Amino acid sequence: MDKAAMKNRLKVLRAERDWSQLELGGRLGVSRQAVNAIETGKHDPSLPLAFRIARLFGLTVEEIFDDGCQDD
Amino acid sequence: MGARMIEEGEGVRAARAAKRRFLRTAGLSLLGAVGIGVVMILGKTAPGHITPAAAVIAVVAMAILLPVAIYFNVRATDEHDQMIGLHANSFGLYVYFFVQWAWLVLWGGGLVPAPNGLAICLVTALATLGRYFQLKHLR
Repeated sequence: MDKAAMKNRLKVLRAERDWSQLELGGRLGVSRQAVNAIETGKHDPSLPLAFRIARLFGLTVEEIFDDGCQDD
Repeated sequence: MGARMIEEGEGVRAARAAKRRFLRTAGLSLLGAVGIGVVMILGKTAPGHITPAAAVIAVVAMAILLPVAIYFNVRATDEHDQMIGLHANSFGLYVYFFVQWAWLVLWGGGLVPAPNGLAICLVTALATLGRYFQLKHLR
């Protein structure tokens, strides 16, 4: 559970839209604590949730999440 | 508006509705847990206080209501909540086995009275809830 999580731009994307964690959580169907856990790297979202996040922001999953393993 | 976050968007309304659903199922589960506790305490402190028929009805009702409550609870929670619930339950299981084993060993050594099922159940429930609260709110 405390293993190194992926980096992500969720906090930045949320701030750009002036959304609170509660607002984003409601739009994604998860709790405020879940958004906080993802933003702080304490929880890696499932694939379905990662795709919901990507669709909400109009980006690809790779543009939001970075597992640090890309070579290019 | 400035730097102030928007607090009343569609997401906030959806989040509040989800929280109400969660609190409703959690409240019903809590009521059920209190009911179980009362029945256990009555059965423990006064053997024969519950009629055999009432005891059977209570057990059958619990066999039906418990999975229903768990089903609605799981439906009302998100993946993060389910994950920390899994960790909290694993922790609770460890506490249960350890306390049960330790109490038996200490009882075998003549150091403590015989293990008390109700006390072990209570310790397990408190440990599970405590771990859940810590993972959800204090990390």
